[in-house]
Amino acid sequence: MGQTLVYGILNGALYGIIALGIALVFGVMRYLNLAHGSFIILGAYGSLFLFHLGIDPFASIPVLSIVLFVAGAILFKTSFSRLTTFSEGNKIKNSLLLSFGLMLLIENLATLIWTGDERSITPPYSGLTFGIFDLRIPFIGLAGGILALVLISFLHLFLTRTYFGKSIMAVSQDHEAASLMGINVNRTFLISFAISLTLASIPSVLIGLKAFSPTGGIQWFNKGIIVVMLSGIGNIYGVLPAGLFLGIIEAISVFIFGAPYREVTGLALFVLIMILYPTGLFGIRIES
Amino acid sequence: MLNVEHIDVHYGDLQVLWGVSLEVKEGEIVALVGSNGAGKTTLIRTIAGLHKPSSGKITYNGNIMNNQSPHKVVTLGISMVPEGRRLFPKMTVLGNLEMGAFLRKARREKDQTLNWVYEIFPVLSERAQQIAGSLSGGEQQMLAIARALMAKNGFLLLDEISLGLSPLLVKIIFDVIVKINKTGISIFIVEQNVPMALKVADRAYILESGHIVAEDVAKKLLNSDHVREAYLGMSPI
Repeated sequence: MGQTLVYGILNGALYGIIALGIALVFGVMRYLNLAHGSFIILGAYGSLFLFHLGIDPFASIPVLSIVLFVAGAILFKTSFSRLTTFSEGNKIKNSLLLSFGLMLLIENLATLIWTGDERSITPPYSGLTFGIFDLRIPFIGLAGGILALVLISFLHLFLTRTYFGKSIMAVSQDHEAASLMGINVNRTFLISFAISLTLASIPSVLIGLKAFSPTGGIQWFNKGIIVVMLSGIGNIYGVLPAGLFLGIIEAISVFIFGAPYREVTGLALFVLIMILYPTGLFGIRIES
Repeated sequence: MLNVEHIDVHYGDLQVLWGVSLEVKEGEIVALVGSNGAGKTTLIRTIAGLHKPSSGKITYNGNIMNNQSPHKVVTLGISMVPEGRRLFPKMTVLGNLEMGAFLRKARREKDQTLNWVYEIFPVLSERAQQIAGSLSGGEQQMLAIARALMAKNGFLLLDEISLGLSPLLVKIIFDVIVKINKTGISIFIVEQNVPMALKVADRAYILESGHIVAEDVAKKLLNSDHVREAYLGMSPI
């Protein structure tokens, strides 16, 4: 049981970082980026490529971050920026359409380039564990958990302490009012989108160290979007606890019902919570 | 200072403003009054860059303002208090004020401006750490005005600031507007509360169905038959 919980927590941290990127874009510009998972997979291929050149997967995170940031900026400028003037409902629908197409494009390109075979990055330390009491803790999983904490703390500091970060929060709450403060809303959108893809670099490596194939992105997106909903829409700080919650629940369900029912329990729980707490577990309600 | 020359504004195929011209000189309070749906808010939003005029010209201190995006209009010196306050509801009072000072030049003088704004609205300094969404309507309106002042601009656009406030609060807020104007800030007010707006303004324009139908010194308009009949519900003198 204890061992199951360890894996649940480590998986949950990974879900949390995936959700962070989705939540940022959704919170700031009301876009649902269905291709977020596909970018994680692309990042995993990038990390694998660098690994073959002799670069450690964790050392490839900064490189991936920069590449994904630039890719995000270009992608926003050429496609997603066209949706900014739509109404909120139309933004969600059209961003879903656009990113769905993008996801198919990425999946098929990746299949063409790398074939559909499952790949994995295998540094010498993969699979190594250490023991505390009678629990086995994998090094890679632990590193992922720590990275998740560091990342969320950094994002928190950025959003609450820096002027630019605060302006992102302002845009997410009322972008028209933000523009009246002198905030360049389109630039804020562009940078938030680019940051969201940058956030995909860490899950890229963590998933790269597990196993991945061209069409795996949507599964990870599913985990991410469930966590975003659980944490409460627009609430960036809830994603880590919500991710851990989903990870732990999945782990417990594996322990009780067996591995085949893992996804079912996660989704059933999601539906249940949506019925009981429609604003999410950590959603903040403001009386207006 | 601010010149609006013959602007037409459309929403799709629907024309809302027809050849509207007006002027605000340095240090003036100018009011634009009119009934619901006359196009007042459209006009003030067009000046702020939130709508684009299909023809005509808007200039401020020699800069051409039409076709500028809203953030650019603020940078060029015009701040706006939008209708319905439009605060950042999940931020604190202080957080909202900080956002008001987003412009680089305003950011440098932020602490000074903050003291000045707290002097004008002492209640905001008491509520500094409170979430903006939890303030009362009057306090929210004060915060919206204070937030616009934080940009340190010489020109203020006020859109329906009396909306939803008690008569006493309306009076307090308009007293403050006069005080702000005395510090050298030119003000353009759009109001449905015609008597209040005409009392504080130097000059005023009347907008009806997208056309300017009258322009005069505010006191004269207040006593004109047209205004007394159409807006104050009184019989002509």
